[in-house]
Amino acid sequence: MPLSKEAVEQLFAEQVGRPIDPEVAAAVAGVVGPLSDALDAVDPEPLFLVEPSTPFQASYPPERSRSDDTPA
Amino acid sequence: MTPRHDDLALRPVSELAPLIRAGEVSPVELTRQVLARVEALEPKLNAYITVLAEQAMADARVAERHIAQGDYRGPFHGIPVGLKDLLMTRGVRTTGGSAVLADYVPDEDATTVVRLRAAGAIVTGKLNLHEFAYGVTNDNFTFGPTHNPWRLGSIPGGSSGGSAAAVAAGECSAALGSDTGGSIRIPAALCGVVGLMPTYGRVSRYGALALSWSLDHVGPITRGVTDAALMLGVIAGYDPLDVSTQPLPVPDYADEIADGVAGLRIGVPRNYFFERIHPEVRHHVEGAIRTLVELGAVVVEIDLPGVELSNVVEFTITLAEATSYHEHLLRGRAEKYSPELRVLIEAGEAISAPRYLKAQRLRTVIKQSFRAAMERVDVIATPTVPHPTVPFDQPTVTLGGVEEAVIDCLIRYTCPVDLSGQPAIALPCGFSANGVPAASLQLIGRPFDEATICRAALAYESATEWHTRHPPL
Repeated sequence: MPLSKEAVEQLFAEQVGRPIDPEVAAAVAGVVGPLSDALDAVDPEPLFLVEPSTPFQASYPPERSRSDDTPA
Repeated sequence: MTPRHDDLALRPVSELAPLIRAGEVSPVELTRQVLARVEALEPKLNAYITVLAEQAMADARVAERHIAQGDYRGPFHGIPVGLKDLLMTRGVRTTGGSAVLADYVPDEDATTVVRLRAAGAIVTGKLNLHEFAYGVTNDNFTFGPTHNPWRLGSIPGGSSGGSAAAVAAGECSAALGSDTGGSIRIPAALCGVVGLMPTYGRVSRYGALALSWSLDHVGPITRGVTDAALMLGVIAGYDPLDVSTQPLPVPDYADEIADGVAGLRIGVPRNYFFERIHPEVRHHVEGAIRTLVELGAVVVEIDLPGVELSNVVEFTITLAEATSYHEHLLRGRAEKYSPELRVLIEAGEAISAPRYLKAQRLRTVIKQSFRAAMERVDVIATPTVPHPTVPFDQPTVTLGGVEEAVIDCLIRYTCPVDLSGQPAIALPCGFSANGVPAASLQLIGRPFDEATICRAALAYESATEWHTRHPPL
């Protein structure tokens, strides 16, 4: 179900703890609604064993060569 | 007596540095010529938020004296550089392109600024950007739009639009930008210059105002590939003040990028990157790949499954992280945000934790896709952006029968690489018949292997003449 202006207003009142301007709420719904719909449409089953990327982790471990493991 | 040079402001750093070292070009004269262009062109371009003319001239005199005394510090000694105005500068206001921080004067420099100053660079000023780096048009609500120097009235791209416009116009010899969804490479593409996004963890972001911590990168925007590699050599490396940086040695890029592309395996994606693309962009990028093959590279077709979700993943992560970053500013200065930014900052509150984490899990899938592809190739070649610059008053573009917002279009080929964390370089590869940059080639590399993408980019650049063109201002 598309995210509505009223749902955004309710979220701000109940969870954020402050009111939101109705025009801003409508615009927020227009930004977040399609993203939420797109994410919800992704089948979660293939993601069952996939962990989230973690902020600040290196994208890949630094390259290592076999010589790195050779005792000095 | 220094030989006369009237065109210093448009020369690449790689040409200027040996002349400065030899005493044939004066940093004072170079800085004077750059500042003269700033004064002449700023009424048209608006690339700068703050010009530091007096300080730059004073620093240039110091650099000239040190070099004359034999204290030459390397290729950026005496070179005028501009800084995107989200990099903190001690004693100089750092606005983030927003009224929210219009009077913010940091008491320290960002790590990249510290390193550039230590290398002898001359800071000419703080460059315009999309407010808080949160967009791609550079139509700045508080400080006014930066115009594309190739076509006034059109966007320079963003969010580092001031950086790219200033470099293209000779208002500085090189600049720093930042890239969260493409904000170095997009303006580089639209302004016909080179943009290099380093590997996540290669360059410190300490002292850079954040947009999205897990996606932000700081990197060079320059007039040539060698300049980008030289600048990366100055700013790269571990920084204890940025937990994302890796304790890896920084190569001497100048030594590593001149070997050509013979035998280099270039992956060309079969999916996503050539879909819904302007025909002129496709034509030029395919031509650039053919040029690389003529130079000895080998093309390998690859697939990148999952990458089609990049825009959704990118926006979800950015919305949530940006809202967290701005929480304290929003509490005290909410009315100072532009209406556009206010919506985006509030929108992050409506991203639930499970959806944020689902986006980060999909990001893992995208990373795995790139990792698998990079086992078969050395470099991946794609267009940088699907479409050239557009006028400021054009909110959408239509490609392949699909109308989309300009930002959705322009980040499509760049944001997957922010998500994967790999390095990527953008360089011009074609102009339209009307003389405006039409296309940019993006070369994506293995993590921490910026040298190989610069090597391939330099081989292409050396075989073409796009980088020698300057906007007719």
